[in-house]
Amino acid sequence: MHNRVRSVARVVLACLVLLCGAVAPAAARAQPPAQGAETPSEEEVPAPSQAVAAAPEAKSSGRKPIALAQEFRLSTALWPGSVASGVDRFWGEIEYRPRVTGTRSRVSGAAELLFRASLSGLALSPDDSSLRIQSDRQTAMIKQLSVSVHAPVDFAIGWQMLSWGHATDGVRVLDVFQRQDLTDRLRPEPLGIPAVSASFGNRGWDTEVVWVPSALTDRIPVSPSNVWYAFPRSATVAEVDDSGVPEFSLSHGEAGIRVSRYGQHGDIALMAARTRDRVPSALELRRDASSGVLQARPVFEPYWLVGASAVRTAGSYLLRAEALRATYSEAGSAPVKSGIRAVAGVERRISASTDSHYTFIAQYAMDTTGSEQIAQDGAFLSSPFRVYGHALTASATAAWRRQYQLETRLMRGLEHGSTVASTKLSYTRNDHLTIWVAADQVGGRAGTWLERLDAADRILVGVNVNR
Amino acid sequence: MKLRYAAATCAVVVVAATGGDHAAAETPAPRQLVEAAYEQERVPTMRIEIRMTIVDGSRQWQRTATLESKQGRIGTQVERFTFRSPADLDGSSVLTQEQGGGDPAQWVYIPAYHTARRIAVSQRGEAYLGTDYFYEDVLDRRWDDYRYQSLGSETVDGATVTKVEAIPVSDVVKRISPYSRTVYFVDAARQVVLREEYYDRAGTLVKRLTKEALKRYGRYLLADQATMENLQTGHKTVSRITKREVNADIPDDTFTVRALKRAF
Repeated sequence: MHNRVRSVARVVLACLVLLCGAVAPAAARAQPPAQGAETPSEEEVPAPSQAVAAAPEAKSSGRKPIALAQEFRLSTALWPGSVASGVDRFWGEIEYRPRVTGTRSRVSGAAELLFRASLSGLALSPDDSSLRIQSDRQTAMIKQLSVSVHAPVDFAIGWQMLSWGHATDGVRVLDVFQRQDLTDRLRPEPLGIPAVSASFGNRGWDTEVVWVPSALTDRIPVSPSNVWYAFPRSATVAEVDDSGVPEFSLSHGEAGIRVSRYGQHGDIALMAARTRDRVPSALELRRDASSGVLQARPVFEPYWLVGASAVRTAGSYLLRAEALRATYSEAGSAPVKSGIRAVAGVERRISASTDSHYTFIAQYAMDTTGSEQIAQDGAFLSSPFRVYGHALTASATAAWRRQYQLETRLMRGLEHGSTVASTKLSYTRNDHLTIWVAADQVGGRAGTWLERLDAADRILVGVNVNR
Repeated sequence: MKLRYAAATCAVVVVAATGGDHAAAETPAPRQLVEAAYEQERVPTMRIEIRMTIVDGSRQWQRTATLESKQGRIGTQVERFTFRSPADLDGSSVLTQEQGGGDPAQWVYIPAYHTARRIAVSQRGEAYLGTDYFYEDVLDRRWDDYRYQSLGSETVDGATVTKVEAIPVSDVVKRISPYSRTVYFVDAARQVVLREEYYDRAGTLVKRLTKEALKRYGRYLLADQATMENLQTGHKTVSRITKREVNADIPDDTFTVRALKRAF
């Protein structure tokens, strides 16, 4: 599976290089002057008593040069609470994130990679206080690697970031074609998905279609030493069986269409798709026939969806809503019921002065395919990633002096009162340096998946350097 | 007696009217001064490349950006501002659409988030993407929404300018705008605004825009350098035009949310 992914990556990278190389000579030719263009070589008009220097003229390029952005992130996390035995209480990570973009004529390319080294340790076990590689977190992966051709119809192929929602706060029900790295549950990392997409606009309406040759799931925590481990830690469940992860096959392909309009007072979008859960739809508990060991097997069910989203300004408020209807096959073996996932909220921004402002967002989210409490149906447990049926989310952000930002987020389940809260204070010295400190708190009620993460309260410190 | 009084009154009225017309011809009304200056620099289509220096006390750093715009009559324009460097900001964009004099619509696109966010009306008083420009600053001035008065003359960079104060009279602008009044320093002889001063809702002078390096592009007299200074914080953004294409050939779909996402 991973070898295939790497092979496809090499092919896409080769295409990117070839395409950019092929069109470069054409782009390097002198561009025809714009009709009626008036050159800037005419006389300056100084004020009566002042002569001003001429602005330096840039050479005409007619194309966007290749840009390399590099970001380094150094962070540590500490769980001071009573984590389960064998669970790491400390993470130290360093990340390198290069991003290359470039455009030649009508062809553009984008590549974004993530290299992360992660050490963890200080487990509670008296015989295990050493540091080791945190296998869930240590990774080298492609976030994005795509080539686009821009014509009346835009085409893109490769690992793409497909964001189909309207940027609701934290709960993005329509971003079904965006993968995530969930090895840190509270700070998910968006990932691209290998796909072919096309988009075109007509009279203010945009249409996008996407084809994903084979389903790809999110990265989920599978190492028991990871505090965010997604499976039961019960002594009876000895291991995770990943046979439920869909293998590469065109029969596991996905497709979708989205029609959107960005208007004067609001934006709307409608979409329909055949896709698949990227987080486990459910966990199947079963005993391995040969070893007799009880295993947890995540299953990822396909489904049809129709959805819509809207954003509207209303005075000083911004209203956002997204909803989808997911229809699972009744023939499927997992007890996943068709239902609705939706989020609706209101945003209010207040400017206190020219360089400080506050943002408040309140949202209601529902997921009738999920449950705050762990539900069991035969050998199946409800998804550990759909942790609410009805919930409220809120966030408040204060930014001042352009350099400081304090952000607080809260999610509260309405059925049993589980809560997740996060706070982050960051200081941005300039375009290149940000220092931050954060704290997370998880308060799960009895019988919920969040209860099992009750000891996940932590503090974090990090530095981001951009070059 | 009544006849003489009536004749005298008529004479005064005629003289006053004639003199008034004559005076108006020599010194345009304050609104006309500002409006003519902005109309003079209203280019139908334009693409400019900008080298931006952001200054914060003793520290300063550089950025480059591209601004593409199409302008029709007042209240009808589309504009796309895109950062090109530093590399981690490359592709960060602000798209503004104003159509037929209706409410402006604005979106900001940050490549790292891979999605465009609509700008709320209450956000127009915020500086965008770390510069000293507010979202409001890139919108067309709707001249009818303000009351104008002359504050006299002074000299700016050797040029005699007329200071014109614009105060919002429209309820909508009063409610939305971060500014309680704006003072334009208009060089009437060259039909150009050399300086603008912005006052916040409390009436305090908060920002000053200074235009320099005037250069003629065909029939347009345009500033190739502009400095927006936040007088409360000392923070300022110096924008120097490194390349300007007047009447540039810019495809219409450049000004769509879909186009913001290309290649990022």
